[in-house]
Order: sequence, then structure tokens, then C-alpha cells
Amino acid sequence: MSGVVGARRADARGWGPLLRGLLLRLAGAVFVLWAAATLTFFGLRLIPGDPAQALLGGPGSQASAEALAQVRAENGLDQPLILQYLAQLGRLATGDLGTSYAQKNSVLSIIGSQIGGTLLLAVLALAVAWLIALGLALWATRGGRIAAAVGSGLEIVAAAVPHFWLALVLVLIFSTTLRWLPAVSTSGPAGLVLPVLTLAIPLAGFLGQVIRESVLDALAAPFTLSARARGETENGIRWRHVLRHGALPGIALSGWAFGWLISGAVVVETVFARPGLGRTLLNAVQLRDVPLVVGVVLVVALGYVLVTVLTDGASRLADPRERAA
Amino acid sequence: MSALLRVEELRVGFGRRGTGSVVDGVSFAVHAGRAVAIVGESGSGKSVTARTLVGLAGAGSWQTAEALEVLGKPAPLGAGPSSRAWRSIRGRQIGLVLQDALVSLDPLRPIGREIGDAIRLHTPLSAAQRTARVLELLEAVGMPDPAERIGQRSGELSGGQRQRALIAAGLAADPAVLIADEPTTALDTTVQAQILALFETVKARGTGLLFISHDLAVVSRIADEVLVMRAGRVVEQGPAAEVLGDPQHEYTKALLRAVPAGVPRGRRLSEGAGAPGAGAQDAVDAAAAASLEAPLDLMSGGSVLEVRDVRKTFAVRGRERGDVRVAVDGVSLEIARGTTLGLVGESGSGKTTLARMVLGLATPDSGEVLLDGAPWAPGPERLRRARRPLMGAVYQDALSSFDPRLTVGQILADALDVPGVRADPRDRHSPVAEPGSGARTYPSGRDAAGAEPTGANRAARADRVTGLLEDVGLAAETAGMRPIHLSGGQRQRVAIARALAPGPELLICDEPVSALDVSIQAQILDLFDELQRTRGLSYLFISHDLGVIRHMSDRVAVMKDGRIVEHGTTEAVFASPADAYTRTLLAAVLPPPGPARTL
Repeated sequence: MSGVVGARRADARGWGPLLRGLLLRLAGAVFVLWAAATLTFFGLRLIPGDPAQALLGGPGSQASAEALAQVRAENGLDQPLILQYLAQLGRLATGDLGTSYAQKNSVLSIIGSQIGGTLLLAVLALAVAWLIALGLALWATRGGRIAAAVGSGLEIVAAAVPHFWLALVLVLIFSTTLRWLPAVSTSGPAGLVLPVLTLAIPLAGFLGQVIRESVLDALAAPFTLSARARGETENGIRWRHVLRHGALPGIALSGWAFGWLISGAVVVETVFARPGLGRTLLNAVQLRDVPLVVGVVLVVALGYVLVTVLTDGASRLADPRERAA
Repeated sequence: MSALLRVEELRVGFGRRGTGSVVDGVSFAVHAGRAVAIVGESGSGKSVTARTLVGLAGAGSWQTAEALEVLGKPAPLGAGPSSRAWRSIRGRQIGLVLQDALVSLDPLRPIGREIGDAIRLHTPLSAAQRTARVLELLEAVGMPDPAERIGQRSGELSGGQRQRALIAAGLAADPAVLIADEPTTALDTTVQAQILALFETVKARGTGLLFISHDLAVVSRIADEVLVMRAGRVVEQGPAAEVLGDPQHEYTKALLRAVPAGVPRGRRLSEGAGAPGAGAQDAVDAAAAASLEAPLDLMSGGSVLEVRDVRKTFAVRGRERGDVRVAVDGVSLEIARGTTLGLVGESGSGKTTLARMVLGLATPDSGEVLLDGAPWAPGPERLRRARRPLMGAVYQDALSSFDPRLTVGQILADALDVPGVRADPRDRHSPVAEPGSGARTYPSGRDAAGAEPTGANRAARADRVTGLLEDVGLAAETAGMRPIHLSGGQRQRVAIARALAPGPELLICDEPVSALDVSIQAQILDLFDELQRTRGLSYLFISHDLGVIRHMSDRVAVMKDGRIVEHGTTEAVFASPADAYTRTLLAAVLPPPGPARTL
């Protein structure tokens, strides 16, 4: 999923093309949301089991046949699938996300209470990942074969470790052995450290690889030689020239990273018993709570669309060639 | 007066100290207001010499010298490349201007910042004072609208403007010596003349110039002293007039001889290096004379290509709908069989768009192209496909036109494996042309439908590949190599062999020698010439280099802003240009270097 279908480059001159670009982008966003809702709706139906039973508290509730029939009628579950789909789509179009089957509460209010923690986690993880990746890339390209080999080795290992494993290793080191940090997420900032690191380290591996690659390209480019020939210092070369070139692919990758962080949050929030959108989603899927799952997926998809717009904007800020073209 | 920069017995190498030397014993001195030029072909060590003088020879290099003095003080040869000692010399005492300003200026930063950096690093001026100084510098290097350009980035400037900005950056901290490494190489003729004039003013103001170039005409214009380098050694050194006017060393003589400007059509530029059928110069001259008389005779063969009033426009992105740029604006051309039409023009003049339309790769908005008198373009590709073998193309960048995974043999076999390839391309009279029918009959060999190769076929094809390689002066073993392992000249020979494989009558050559060293360029031009004589090929020869065009063409068309502004026989266009633009273009051409040519 590469983000919004639409004009990557709206135009600077004249309102016509600008408006067309905006409309295209908007249409793309609507398409993404519709596709997410549709796939989720039908995907959940593929899981074996009876949604009515889920409504009455899951398979263990031993609900009577009458109760099941009543629940089916109340929620329209006795109608053909396509009608249920259209009805749900109609509700979504008016902004009504419905009521959670399991929690008997408005989906919007459930998401509202959970989204803050997840966003905080994702944003902090993204920031920490950038710091680690930039530091690693700049250090690994400082010259010297050992630094380069160690740097790229670290990136590959970081990018390859799965979240749940990394979470357990971090808990083992920092909670069980060193007793520095809590193993279960608490409300204070100390409780955030391990979840954020668990999400940030693999992402730093990915970011570091693309950043290091383009830092190396920039260091070998003739404009760097030109800058050195002007008497520029090593630090000047890095801060004034190389860093910006290195950051460009990282910015482009950050849009993708957001989606990746949300899926990582499912694991991390579960492992650290942290409230949030990820854990809500996992529970909702297990309970076949269709309205809540669709609601969470839609909110995540909307976030994805917004982040893509933001990274596009950031790319334009960092790369004037995108603006001029 | 003492030298600003003095070098004695400079040696530079890569690897263990004392081994792998790429510069071997170079000595010279640069004085105020004088220009020293180092001439050589790629790999001669001239650029490494230039970079060593500012301590930037590159990673893993070693340098020794009996003396290396900048403004009378020994340079810190042993110090690290980013040491303070070197940094205080760079930009302040020695400025360096690199070639290809598109990539030598940071594409993400405004040129004002790039130029201002040198001032920031070497003077205590405030930001406002720096901006004022940058504006002065831009004015001094002849940048149009300095106030507007100062905020623009290299991608927004033309080639000449970029080079001016780069020169301004080199001069920003007012260095005593300016080193310019191929500063005019990527530029159009008229822009090149302007940039050279700029270097002359710099020189006249008292800056010492070290000029690195492969272009002898440029060097003869600007240099007071010349060093000719080959494989890291100086083969000849002395005052410019003596070295270029009366060369003593064989290599210098060969270099001068290889310059095509002013050499009449048909005369060889390179010493008979392995060109099959190349006899003594007398024989070649006789053949040349014959080819000069030939056009009359060949005209009876009719035209192989006719372009009638073609026009091509492109939508301009970022403007209102319907706003277009006219790339080719009503061009008509004709190429008589067995002759060369030289198409000359500067970058952006529409040469390449025209070539693409002739090749049927771009569809003209209006007008038509006729091949052998039959309609060729516009029209669906399937109507052209059967006649594709009649037309071949050779481009500037041979390497990127090859699939890097294929060997040379596979590349050529691929080109042979096209429906309609003639059995023996040398036998150009065998196919019976039936204009208009779009189909040809072939007397023997592979059927035009191109059946799967059998064992016998495969052996025959291997023979054909060897034959093609031989035709372009390459050894049969080349077939097993990959293009990446070949030299620039060898790659261009493979590209020509590939173009010849289907047995074409017409070759479209788009800047085919522009990326080559002058001696290699001479060999490739000789090869084109010889192939034309032995196979009766016709060429549409596109170049920005008037010397090359004059040497290669029977007729010349001058293109500007999508139009042919002048068209005629080569002698007429060069001797008495009728159009004002052609006159400007010719005036910008530097006189060919070396002893007066005997025509």
C-alpha cells in the first residue's frame, strides 16, 4: 500500500491544476477508506463461527436459540450478507461507526479513549527510530571499514528481529535482571521506555539502511568534493550537505513506517499489557466484534492517509526539486 | 616574480606507498596572470594531479614530491585530507572548479549558499556582507539577473549558468590560483566560448590558472604553458605555441592529428590501427576524392530518407492546459543514398526529438517520414516492423544502451535475431526493394519469419557475430565479454556492430563520439567513414561538435529552436553561412590547434 492514489505533484501555478490535484487526492483517500472497510467486513465473515454468538458473549455463553434469533433480528444478521454490507456502508458514510457488540458502547468513544496511548507510542517510536538511524548512519559512514561493517550489520539485525522476541529480551535485561524499568507498562514515563524501544529498534534498522545508502552516495558525489575544495570541514560537509540527502529516503519511508508501527503496536501493547488501539483491535477480532474492528481499521487507514500527505509535504520541504517540478 | 604554485616531481598512487602510481614525476609552476594547462585523455592522471594540489587525491592514495609550494610555503603533503592545514589552503589560496556543474553543486541548496560557503569559511564577513559579495561575484562571472539567481538551485539553471556559479564559488574567497578541471567539457559551443572568455578575464586580473582539459582547441586558446600527460607521465612540456605548434613527441602529434576540425572528409584521423582494408594514406586520399565526387553518382540512387515538414510538440507540465513547447517545428530533410547528413545544433534545439521521429520512436504531430520512398512514420509500429532492419541507431552512451547481463556475443546475436534480417548485410544489393509493399524478398539464408535456431543455424550465427566484430575492428574473443569490462571506444564499436547486425541502409547516429577521448573519437569516426565506403551506408549524423560534423558530412543542416535555419552542402554552409545563427555558431568555434593544416 503506497498511500494515496492521486497527483503526487499538485501544481504551484494556477488554481485549476491545484484543485484537480486536491480532488484526486481526496478521491484516493475515500477509495482507500472504502477498500479498508470492505476488506475488513468480508474478511471477518471468513472466520468460522456465528457473529450472533459473539454478540451474546462468545461461544462459552451457551445462549438459547431464541436469544440468538432475537439478536440476529436486532442487528440485521438474518439478512443477506450483501444487504448487511450495504447497510453498514450506509452507516459509515454518515459517520456512524456503530456500537461495539462486546462492549455495548459506541465504537467512536472506545476508539477515542484508546487512540491517545497508541499515537503517543507510535510518534515516540518514530522519533527514537530516526535518532538511532541517523546516528548509526553518520557513524558508520565516518570512514573506516570496521565502522561500515558494524553499522550495516547492526541495521540488518535490528530490522530482522521480531517485536515479540525483542520485547521479551528487553524485559529480561532491563526488568528482570537490571530491575531498571517495569516489565508491565505503567502510566509514568518509565513504563513507556521498553514499549517505545521495542517498536523503534527494528524500524531504526530499516531507516538506517536507506539513510546510510544515500549518505554514502552523497559523500561520493562531486558536490561534496566541491565543498571540500572550498575548505569545508568534515562536520560542515555532513550538516550542510550530506545529512539532507540522507534524510530524503528516510522521510519517504516514514509514511510506510506509520502503518508498520500500528501493526507493531498490536504486539507491543499485548506483551506489555498496555491499553491502546492495537490491543483493542486484537480483542475485537478475537470476539468477532465487527463494528469495532471496522472502526479501528478505518481510523488507522485514515491515519495512514494523513501521514502520507504529511510525508509528501515534508519531502517537498526537504527537496526543492519536488516543489519546482 | 616567484611562482604562486610550484610542483617538483609529484608522484601520486593508490595502494601501498610507492606502488600503483597514477601520476609519475610531474613538475610545473603557475605564475600570476598565467595559465598552465595539463592535456591528456581519460586515465592520464591529469585530474588526480589537480586534486592532489589541494590535498584531495582520494581515499587510499599516497603522494610524494620533491617540492610542493603554495605561495612560497610548503604544502602539508603528509597531512590528512581534512586537516586544518589543507582546509586553510582550499578555497583561500587555491580554488578548484570541477567539471559537470550539474552534479558539482549541491542540488538541494541555493547557489548563493554554495558560493557564500567559501566566504563564510575564510573570511569574518557577516551574512549580509556575504550576500553582497556573492552578488558581486555573480555579476563578475556574467550571470544574468544575479539577484534572482542567488536563490535558485543548480537544477533551475542552464548548463552555462551552472558553470558560472561554480566558477564564482571557486573565486569566492579570492584565491591566488584557480584550478579548473574540464570546466567546459559538457557545454555547447557558444557557451564554451563565453566560459573561456570568463577564464581569460580571471587570468587577466592576475589569478594564476591551472587548466585541465582533454580538448586541445580549448587549451590552445587559454594556455601559456602546456603539459601533455599520458599514463601518469608528462610526455611533452613547454610553451603552448611550441608544444601545439611544433610538437616533438609522437603522442602529441597523434593527439593533434586526431582532432577532426579542419580535416577534409574521408581522410583518416587515426593511425591505421587495425582497420581492415585501410591502405596507405594515398589510397585513402584517393578514396576520399572518389567519395567527394560520388554524391552526383549516388544521387541517382534516390533518397534513402525523406522527412517532410514534421512537427512535434510536448505539453508543458505546470502550465495551463493546452500550453505546449514546440520541440520540432516543421522540419524537412532528405538524405541521398550513401551520403551523410550532418545535423548540428545546441542542446535543446530539437535534434534528438527529430532523430526519435525518424526512428519511429516518437510520433510526429504532423508531417511524414519516408524510408526508401515508402511511408515510414507516422503509422502503427506493425507496418514498420518488417522494414526495421533497414534503419539502425547509435547513441552517445553505449553502455546504458546494453542489457548489462548480456555478453557482447549475446547482444549481437539478439540484434541478428530479428525478422527480416538480411543473410549477408554486406550484399546490400541483394534484397529487392519494393517501395510501398512493406515487404522484401531475400535471395538466401534465413527466412524472414525467423525460425527457431537449429544447431547449424547457431553455428552460422556465431560466425555472423564474429564477422560483425571483425567489421568494427574488434577481436572475436570480445564476444564472450560483458560491456562493463570494455573501454569506451570498444563499447561504441559494439554499439555500431549491433546497429549493423540487421544489415541497415541508414544509421541514425546521435552524438556517437561525444563521450570519447579525442584519439578514440578519431578511430570511431574513421570506422564510420570506412563502413560507409565499404557498405554504402547513409548516415544521419547528429552532433553539437562542428569539427566532427564538418569532417563527416556531405550536407549539413543547422537546427535551432526546432527549426532548420540553414541547410546546404558542407562546404557552402561552412564557407559562406547565410543565417545569422550559423555565423554565431561558427564564430564560437575555436580554431583547430596545432600546426597549420595542409588541406
